[in-house]
Amino acid sequence: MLNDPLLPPPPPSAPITQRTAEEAMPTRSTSTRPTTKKPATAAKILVTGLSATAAIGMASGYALAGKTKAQQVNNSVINATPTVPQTPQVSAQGATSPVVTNSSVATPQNNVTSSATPAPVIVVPVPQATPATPGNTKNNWQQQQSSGSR
Amino acid sequence: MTTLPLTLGIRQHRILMGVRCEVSVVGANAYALADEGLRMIADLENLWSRFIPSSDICRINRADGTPVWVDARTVSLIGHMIAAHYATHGAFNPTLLPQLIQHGDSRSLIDDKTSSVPVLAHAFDDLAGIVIREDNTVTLPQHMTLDAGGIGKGFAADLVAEHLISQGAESVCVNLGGDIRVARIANTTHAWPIHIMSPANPDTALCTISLAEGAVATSHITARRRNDRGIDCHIASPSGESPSYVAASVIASTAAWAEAWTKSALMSDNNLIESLGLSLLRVDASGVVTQSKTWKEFLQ
Repeated sequence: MLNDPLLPPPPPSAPITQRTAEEAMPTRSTSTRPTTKKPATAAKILVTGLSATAAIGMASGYALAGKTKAQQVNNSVINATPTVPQTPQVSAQGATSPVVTNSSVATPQNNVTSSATPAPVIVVPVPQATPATPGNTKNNWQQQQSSGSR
Repeated sequence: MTTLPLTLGIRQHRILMGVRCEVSVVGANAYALADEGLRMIADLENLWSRFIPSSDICRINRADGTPVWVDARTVSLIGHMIAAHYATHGAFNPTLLPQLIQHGDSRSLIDDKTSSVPVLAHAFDDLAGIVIREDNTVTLPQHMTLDAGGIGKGFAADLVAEHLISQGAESVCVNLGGDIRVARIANTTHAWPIHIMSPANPDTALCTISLAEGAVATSHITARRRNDRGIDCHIASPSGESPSYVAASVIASTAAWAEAWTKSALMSDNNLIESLGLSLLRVDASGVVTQSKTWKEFLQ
């Protein structure tokens, strides 16, 4: 506190003499600085303001967090159908798609989606066989050897 | 209509799916596209091989009645299997793998890989129990197994040919061990000569056809007999009926359908194939070759 800029400058040194207790411990009120400012009071106001702001901020944060959580739960309820897995991109090393068991299809990750049902059964569309188109031209490329149909 | 000049033609080949696979491309970027086609076939082999435990087909076969999440292309393949089974009145049957393995067809023809099926697996004469869901899960009935086999090769040829055309090829010919699909862009008259090989002498062509758009597939009963492995006849039916012919070739719009119809052509004399306008050539055990009327339209 000796270097506190808010404190008034110390009084000029006086010869060391026997002082009374009151004289040895002067208070700020006894300062000779002619001002009406009250730093301690300002500091208290500042601290109070900061505390109040922090309290309001924290309260707002908790409120928002609670709101978001509630929204996520609602979304889970809306998206109760099981997630359709994307078609895996198969590499040259082979497919490694996971085996889907009955339980993993029917058992969701949380209780909200317990009403999930398997994906609908489909019939794969397959165009019927139709006649091919015969060739009617000849060119050099056609003369190359082929292993043929065997 | 403007006819585009044919630019560079390239053929690349590689052993995949147990057979020699050729991808022939005509177009400006033929080298890269042919390579891309072979890579795509390798991808599909990883999905559909019965000799690769992580393949979709192996995982489905091991699932014992539980749903299995598979690639969308596998869903399409199984859709083709089901459609072909009903269209051919059961002559095409993808559930015969237990019978084949029981007769000794458990080893790959090109390496030492083996395939197996659950002990209780057996052939089915009805595919109604297969459940396919919108989320790409497939459920087989308990004890049912699938074998991509020939239709897998045919469907792979279809996918590759269509993909390469979509990527800028002018004309393509994709041959997976005799299941051949050709495709071309609209403004070209390019066509492909294809030898139909003799079942008795693999180095001799029975005839040569010219195909502009579509597919041809050939099945013969000894296709899975090579040297010390395989079996004498891989064409079977749940009832144990023997094929009526030793080889059959069918020309159709897609290789998957052409392949499926060869099974029908081998097993019986019905006129289902010709009634659809498809073209057919068959060889009986004595070497006599018969062909449908429309087959002649393709002869070169």
